[in-house]
Amino acid sequence: MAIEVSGLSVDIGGRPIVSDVAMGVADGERVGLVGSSGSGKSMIAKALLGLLPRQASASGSARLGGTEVIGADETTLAGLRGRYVGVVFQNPGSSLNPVLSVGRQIELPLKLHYDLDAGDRHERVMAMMRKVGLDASLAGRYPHELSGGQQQRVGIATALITSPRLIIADEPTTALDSITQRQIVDLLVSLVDGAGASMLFITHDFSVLARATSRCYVLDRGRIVDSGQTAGLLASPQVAQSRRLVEAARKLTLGGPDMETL
Amino acid sequence: MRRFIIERLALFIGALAGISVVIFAALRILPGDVATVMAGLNSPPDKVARIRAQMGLDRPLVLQYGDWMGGLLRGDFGKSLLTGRSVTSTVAMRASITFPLIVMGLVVALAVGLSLGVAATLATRPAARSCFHFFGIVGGSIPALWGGLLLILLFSRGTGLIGLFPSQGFPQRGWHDTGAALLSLVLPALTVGIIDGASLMRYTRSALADLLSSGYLDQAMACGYTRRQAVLRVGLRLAMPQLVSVVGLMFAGMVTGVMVIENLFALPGIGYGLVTDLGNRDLIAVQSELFMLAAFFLAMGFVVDVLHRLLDPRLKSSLEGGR
Repeated sequence: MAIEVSGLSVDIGGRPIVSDVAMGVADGERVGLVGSSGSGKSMIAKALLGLLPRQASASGSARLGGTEVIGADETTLAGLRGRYVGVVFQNPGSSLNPVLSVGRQIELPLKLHYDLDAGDRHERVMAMMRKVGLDASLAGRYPHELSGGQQQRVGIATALITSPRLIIADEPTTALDSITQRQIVDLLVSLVDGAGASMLFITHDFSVLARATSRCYVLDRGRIVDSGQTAGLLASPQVAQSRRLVEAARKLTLGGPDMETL
Repeated sequence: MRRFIIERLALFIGALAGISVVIFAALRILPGDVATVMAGLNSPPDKVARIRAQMGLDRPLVLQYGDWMGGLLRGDFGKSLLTGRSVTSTVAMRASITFPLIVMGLVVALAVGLSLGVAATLATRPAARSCFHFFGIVGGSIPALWGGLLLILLFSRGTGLIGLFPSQGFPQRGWHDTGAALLSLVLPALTVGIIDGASLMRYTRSALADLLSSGYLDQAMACGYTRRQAVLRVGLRLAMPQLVSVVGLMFAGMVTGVMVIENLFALPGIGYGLVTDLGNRDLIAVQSELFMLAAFFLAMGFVVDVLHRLLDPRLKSSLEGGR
């Protein structure tokens, strides 16, 4: 499912957070949106999903698979979410429902969008859990009883259970340690590619971005300041903001600015 | 869970025993006693002493406490020093007015508080939001006495603008006259319920607003709930442990809150009786009534604790040693 965004602006209480953003994700493509914290990345994701806070107002256009979502009514948005668009959030520990067992959590989008009987749903949940590398015995556990990595696998399973055409991943690895980060990114990429879906991958971390996307946009203070192939941007960033992010990624992951490759 | 309940139960009993000592001691420290009241003003000291001896008030305090506790364990609250009637039956009669009143008040508070709290959370128009805000602040800060008077002026038979409900007393035949008994509790229950409902609305709204800005409702909406569905099905459920605490406290607080209401509407309930008995220094009656109120308070705390464990799986496993 493609994303076409043009002239998208988001204000919160009259303060501009995102200004005149234009970007696109083609069918089956994995695209990154990178920027430092506070640059407005998550607000773009929320605008695409109709999850902006009440004080926020959005203008411009954003189409998901041809459906305009800016100004769309709740029913239209809820019909897209969880069915055609799956979402993986930053911190599964504070987004997975704490009173819902893992199995029921993963089952929820199926329950809301498809008319399947309980047995069918259970089978699909079990198959999905195997796919994301979760043991079937965890289905009855609650999120707080799992490790951070396992929790994010639950988040990914929930996002993918209905085989959506588009995945929006909002900093899905930020809350994890670096080894788990790689596992989660690789899992997400293989599942998205396997399903032929497209993905918008949001992060502040270029090193994660390189594993997850082929093309990316760089966001700074609510504006797109750079875009291009991820590998190219990473090798020779032209714009100052991109350079800063690339430098930061090198220092963080490789322990020194003198290393040339990532 | 069983261990938790046993622990809490032990704590409940221990606290109750402690409170019984405090109540007993506090009432003995209070100046004046029933013998002085019975003997009449300015009566000679030997007359007062005689009455005291008749009533056993000159016995050692430990023995008096022992008698009281022994009676309580058998369900016998003792005899009123003043009227000689069984405190148990008097208290039971009063409780048959007070507790239905509290329950009705609570039902009103829950209906008003939860529905308006959800509506206030979902309201988008600024005018509507201001209305909810106004009700939350004004409704919650009305003194019960004034609120009750207002309802009497509006709805009482005889004096009200629209004469719908009786505003004074309780039917002579009590609950045998069910319809009349219920009607006589409507205005008092509304008074308590609307005021507490306004506070509950504020709690509900702020709990739901916190959840709306948390990731939990975003995740629920990302699965395909609309905002309204997410608030109703996930938000209320997640806010429940918090709301249970508030409602538990509110329920317990109503027991003392209804004292004013019972006096205003001339309902012979526990609050009304307690004020009378205290004035008469009827120690046996007062200490038993206070003990019942304290037991009710503690029991509410116990119920709230247990409900909390049941409603939040995170608390359950942290207690079982955690994982």
